[in-house]
Amino acid sequence: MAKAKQDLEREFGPQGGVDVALATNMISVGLDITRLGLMLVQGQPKAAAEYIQATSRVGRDHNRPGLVVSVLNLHKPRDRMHFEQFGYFHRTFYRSVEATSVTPWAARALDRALAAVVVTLARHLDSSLTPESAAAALENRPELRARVRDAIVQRAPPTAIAGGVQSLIDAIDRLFAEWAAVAQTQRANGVPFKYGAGRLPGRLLHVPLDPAARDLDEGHRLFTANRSMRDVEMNVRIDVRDPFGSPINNARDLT
Amino acid sequence: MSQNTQRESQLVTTFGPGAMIDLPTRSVLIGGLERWDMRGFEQITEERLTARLQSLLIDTNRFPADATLSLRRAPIMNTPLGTLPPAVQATIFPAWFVCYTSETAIVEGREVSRRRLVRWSDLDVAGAAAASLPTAGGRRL
Repeated sequence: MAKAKQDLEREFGPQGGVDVALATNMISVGLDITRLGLMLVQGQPKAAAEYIQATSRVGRDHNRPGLVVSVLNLHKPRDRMHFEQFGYFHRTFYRSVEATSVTPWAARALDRALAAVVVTLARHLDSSLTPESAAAALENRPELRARVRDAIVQRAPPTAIAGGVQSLIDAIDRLFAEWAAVAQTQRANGVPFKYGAGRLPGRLLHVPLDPAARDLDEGHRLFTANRSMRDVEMNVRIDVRDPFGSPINNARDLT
Repeated sequence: MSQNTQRESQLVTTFGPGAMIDLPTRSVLIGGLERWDMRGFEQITEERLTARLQSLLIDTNRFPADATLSLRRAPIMNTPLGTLPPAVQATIFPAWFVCYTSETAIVEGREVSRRRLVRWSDLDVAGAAAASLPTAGGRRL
């Protein structure tokens, strides 16, 4: 890899230079060679961000021009759409850049993931809390709470945490307090209390999109745990109609 | 059904009304708000945003001064299993298609191969008869 980059950087001359670099879309995340001036893009990348990143790898020398040629395929709808709105898209493409993922330790990342991490750590660090039915066994255990807290705080770069280290510590302490409170309520109600089995509110954890979670107490609602990084948002059904707005009957891909 | 969905935030930002999106088997244009099914829609409580929007709209004469504004969510799929959830209508676009298979024709004495353009009205719109054919640009022909 390093050798290939060195070869690419060599100016054309008697010692020979490399004419062409063939690359996949990975070029958008790291080929920084000032010398390169001409790029051929085969097909329109799916993400606008990727297109902008990839095509900005040429013309990085301000004394020399850069030229990007897009080769689009007539038979691909996305390529076609870009061709038809080529000028407009290129004048406004920063607005098409897709939203990116969340920064670690940011406030919303903590909202989303901290509860699951705290519960997981507690179950691993104290084997008496491990079984599914042991969710109600969390008593006032300052030693365990401190171990969980330390394990998390140690991993977090202090400057990266939203609100600082103390707010992270407070958030972890609050989770333990709420966990204990929920467990106590459930015990008082005589319901078996589990981590992830059974129905709400007889379980501690729930997925973020569970409609039943909206009826929980505020403290219990904190205990969201994603099953998949993709389950982040509700979906909306698309009702596909023909070009005149009428329903399409008997289409297998639309039922 | 589950394959023809869009995430809620995508539907109000990048792929709002009028946007063209690629579904697994069709390409469609998202319908305007009058085509969004608002059965049992959920209300969004965002007091400061609502107040700001309301004053902005009233100041620019786009909203009656004595009315109150409320915000709704898109018609999300949170109905019980087995029921058809509300939906956003989207029309198929474009309405002409390129055939998957090519044919040969004689043009000015020369043999050329071509792939015909066909209109929506010339298609088996359900795609059933040709279901065994590979897809072309995402559409069965």
